[in-house]
Amino acid sequence: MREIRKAAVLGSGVMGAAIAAHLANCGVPSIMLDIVTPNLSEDEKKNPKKRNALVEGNKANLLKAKPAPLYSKSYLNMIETGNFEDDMHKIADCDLIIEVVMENLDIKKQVYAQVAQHRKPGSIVTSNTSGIPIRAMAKDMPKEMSQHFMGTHFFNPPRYLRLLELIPGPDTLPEVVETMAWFGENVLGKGIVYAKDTPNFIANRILTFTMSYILHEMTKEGLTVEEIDALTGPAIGHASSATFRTADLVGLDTFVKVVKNVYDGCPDDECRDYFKMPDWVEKMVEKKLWGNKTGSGFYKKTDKKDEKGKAIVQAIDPDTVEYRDPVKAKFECTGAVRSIEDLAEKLKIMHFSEDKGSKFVFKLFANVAKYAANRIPEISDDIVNIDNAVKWGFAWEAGIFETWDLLGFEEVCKRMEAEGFELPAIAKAVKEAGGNSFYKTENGVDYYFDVATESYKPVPKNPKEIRLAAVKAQPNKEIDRNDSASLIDIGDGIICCEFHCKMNAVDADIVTMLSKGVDLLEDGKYEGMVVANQGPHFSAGANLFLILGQIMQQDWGAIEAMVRGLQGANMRMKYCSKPVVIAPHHYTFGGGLEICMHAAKCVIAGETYAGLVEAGVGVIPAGGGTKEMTVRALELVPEGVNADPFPFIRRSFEDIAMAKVGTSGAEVVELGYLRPTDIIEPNFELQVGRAKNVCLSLIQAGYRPPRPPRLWALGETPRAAFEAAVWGMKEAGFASEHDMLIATKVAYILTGGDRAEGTPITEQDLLDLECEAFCSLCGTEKTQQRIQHMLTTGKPLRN
Amino acid sequence: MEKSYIVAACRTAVGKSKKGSAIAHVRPDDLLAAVLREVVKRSGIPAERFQDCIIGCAFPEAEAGMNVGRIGLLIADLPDTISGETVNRFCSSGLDTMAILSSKIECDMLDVGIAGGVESMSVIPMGGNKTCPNPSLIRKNPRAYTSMGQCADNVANDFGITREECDQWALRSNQLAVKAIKEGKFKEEIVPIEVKGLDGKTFIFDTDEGPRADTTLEGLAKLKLAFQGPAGKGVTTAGNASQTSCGAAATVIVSEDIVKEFNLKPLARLRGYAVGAGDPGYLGPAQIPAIQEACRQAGIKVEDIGLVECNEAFASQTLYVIKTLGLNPDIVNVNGGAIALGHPLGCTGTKLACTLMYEMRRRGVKWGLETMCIGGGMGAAGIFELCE
Repeated sequence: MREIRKAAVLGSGVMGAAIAAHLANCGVPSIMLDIVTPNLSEDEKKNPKKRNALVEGNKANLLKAKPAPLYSKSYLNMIETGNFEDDMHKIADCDLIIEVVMENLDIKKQVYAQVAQHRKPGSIVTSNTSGIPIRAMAKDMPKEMSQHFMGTHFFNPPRYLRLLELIPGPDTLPEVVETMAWFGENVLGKGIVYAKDTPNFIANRILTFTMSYILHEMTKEGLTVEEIDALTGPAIGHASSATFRTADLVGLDTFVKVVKNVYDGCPDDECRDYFKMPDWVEKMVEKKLWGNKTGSGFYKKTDKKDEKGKAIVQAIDPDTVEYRDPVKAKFECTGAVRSIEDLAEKLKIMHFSEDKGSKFVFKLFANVAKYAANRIPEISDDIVNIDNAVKWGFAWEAGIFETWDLLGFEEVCKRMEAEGFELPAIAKAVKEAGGNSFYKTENGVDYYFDVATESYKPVPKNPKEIRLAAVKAQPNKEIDRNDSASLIDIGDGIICCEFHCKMNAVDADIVTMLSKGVDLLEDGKYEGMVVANQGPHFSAGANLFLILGQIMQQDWGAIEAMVRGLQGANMRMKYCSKPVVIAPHHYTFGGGLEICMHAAKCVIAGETYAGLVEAGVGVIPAGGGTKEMTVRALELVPEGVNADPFPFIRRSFEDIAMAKVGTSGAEVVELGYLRPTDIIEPNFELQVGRAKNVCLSLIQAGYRPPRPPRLWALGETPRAAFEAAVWGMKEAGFASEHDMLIATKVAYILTGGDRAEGTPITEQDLLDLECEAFCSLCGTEKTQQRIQHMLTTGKPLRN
Repeated sequence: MEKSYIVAACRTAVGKSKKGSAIAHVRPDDLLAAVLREVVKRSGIPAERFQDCIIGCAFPEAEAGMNVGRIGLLIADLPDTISGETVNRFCSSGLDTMAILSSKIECDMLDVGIAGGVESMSVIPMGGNKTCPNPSLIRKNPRAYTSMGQCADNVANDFGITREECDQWALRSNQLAVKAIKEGKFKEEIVPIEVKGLDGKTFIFDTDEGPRADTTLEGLAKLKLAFQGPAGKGVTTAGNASQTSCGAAATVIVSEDIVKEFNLKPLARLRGYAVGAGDPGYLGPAQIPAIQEACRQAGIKVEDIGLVECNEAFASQTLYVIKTLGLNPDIVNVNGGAIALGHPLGCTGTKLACTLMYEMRRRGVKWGLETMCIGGGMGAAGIFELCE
């Protein structure tokens, strides 16, 4: 398989630059080219800097774009820049060339003609088009190039959306598709969907139908813009921007173009009429009500404020195509699902209730499911690619056919028939084959129903992927379990300690399970442990509810015992004779991060949002976190080097006192919470497998636990510098009196407490200081208010 | 008592301390050497006759350390018989050195010396490379360590200086500085220096980098408070505070005998110098008693002053001084101030003396005042008398 060492990105618009950024995230250097800056004077045309001003500007914008396209600002230097006229020859050393220029066939063809001149044979050339047929672009290419040419359709923003649609052209060699699939999944962390060269490919074909259906039917049903969004957002496991906030984000002008692709390109589509926009939408297009880019779309933010001081957002009235004041949507079904977390339960209420909203939701689902089913084999050979496309492209919690299963295969069939829908062929085939679902799991293997062979086939899996739920479903694999955590045998002598409570908040059960895991390692029953889970978040931190309860009962002994418990389990993991590898992902806060800091090594998900944020709830990290931040600072000053540890301890101080959060795995390392030797894995689905492999490799390399670190008290002088800084922040209104108290305690621990500079200290000394500070802060009224506030509002209180 | 005369004065152009700026990478001791060499030449006195060199620096450490007053002389290849000294009173250091040298001459301790100042705020950060506040003082009186920005906001908050008037003053500073440069006002005082750029190419640096011709009141009004958090109050922004800068300046001060021996044409005499001190949480108030005392020494009244250089560390502090003393703003900082031109801490005292003396000569003003605020709640003032 061809190794992709360097890429070229042709086109530096929003998408091109963001693709170059994600390549940089994953360690792939690139050269990004675009046109020479337009409208230059004759003098400026001779100036290379001016010629590249356009592409340079787009590159610089990567630092400002939100959400951040880069894992770390420092990765920007992995993107070289140039222009099509002067620098096209530089693509000669690129293994992958991604074209992201304007969606205009003539322009693309001009670019490909240049590419053909300069690329090296064997290099892969792809287009990120979303609407132009691959075959049309491939038509005039030299044979060797068209054999190495295909579509790679990234979704915006590419760092955050998992979907990568691969679309082979007429000549594309199978090994080229294979290389891109491997690269996309293993290097870029993408979820691969195999699409065909049909208009809008898979995800956008399904989405445009869904949206078009809604636009046509909502007026018939008398549903408002707000009502549609209430019904089609998180209530049915879709993104919170639902239908119309998403449309305003995408832009109606773009949407209409994409819809037209289907209308023009699919004359035989049985739902073609839906792809002709209703009059009121056409009027919106004419009036330039395109969404956020023109200031108003389906919604319009006004200057008026409501009684809470929030800007009033008006919505469009399809009858008049004018804006009207907001009307809050109210449905029984949406009200009923508000407090429900289980997706299946939510979906059932949303689809099978008796109210107007629910009836529409079912009709919408039935039409979309039928449309999707009828698209096999036109756009995809199977349901897996369709389901993955909508899940990864639009962050739907469940795919279409998965939703059908969750609602109950039979129930949906019956209701469809009752409402006069003809069952799609695939549903009939499932019945005829004696099945009662589109998917099933047997012996830990997932199967899907394949319509071509009318039988169940295994869902293709990356061999490196471990899905903990599937492992647990097998007999005897879950070797221990309590309410919050489990120990799972994941093979090859490795156990996994999985958290599975609400937000994976650290509590006594989690601490017990970590300890039991270490027991199994020390008893020689297992060779290594992975601490990982595949919930939405690794851990949101300590269970504040429990702590507040103990404070209310003034049970200081219980608080101290809880602190000592977490400290103890963490120290046991750190000094265990066998390696413990920990895999943080998404929210990894406070106590959750403290656990990670005691790993032999971490395998960090690219999308990790981590920090020691205890100050926000009025306490300090006392599970060994402040201790580790001292260790991590002092280890940067090796024995025999006469260097000042102050800048390093200052970073630790600022992290904790200001509750800094890293918003990617790379940033978490840059803040010094985790180490540069820890590993970053962009593909969340492969994280547990990778952690297990890292654990096995440590064992093979003859793992021995770390030596106790060389620690010494830094004394009063650096502490005074911290106190002066915090005092200044208080004067300037950045910090409150209570922030100052907390920061002073953090400084006290980090500098070794009340000991003279240079006094040798141990980790235990620091843990004792942590415990003392934590308990004393719990006793203050302001800390109690902070905890209470966080529990009731989910936001930190600045008191 | 002897009399002392300032017979030569020059400075480098002032560079921004922002990375990549013209002289941000140049060592302060090299900047100093360039002005020492030039000022000796301009004085018309043989180098062997110089006895001492007193240099002000606010953070005299690392590249500005090892007694930069002496190191600068040696870099400049001046005779090793000239002694060197480094003096620190933060922002007024460069004025203090002139006062020390003048008074030593007047006490007949020496005849010929150099007084100057130097700072590179890019090479050595404000606060120095390591901040080590005293633990007992920080607990007893943290206000002793109030940041300069906070001091500026404290003055505005406690004495009623508004954001609007600060922005207005900042705009004026830029406009006057741009005009002065255009009219070549600083040509006499600036020593062009040869600099090796980051790209390895050599260029001549001879124009102050700071002033912006495109500053507008609307632009200034949009800037966020530079030093205040969500709960803070103040007026100071990046637009109405002085810039952090790099530069060096030097003067030659001699006794009357030397003036006669070499038939020199002195620029001016330093006729009064005083410092004041008070609450370390303020910048500005301590300048008032300093100015009054310096006037008393010179035997003049504040009203006699015809031209003022009031260092614009911050617009709020400058406006405080103007308002409290009732100064005529039309004679203050007539060629712009530090908000536009920059404030290379330890250098500024000497730099402003250069600017003041040359403008006094152009205008024929007899009495000039230089005054500056000093971190730690202090203020300084010097009275210059033009030599006809």
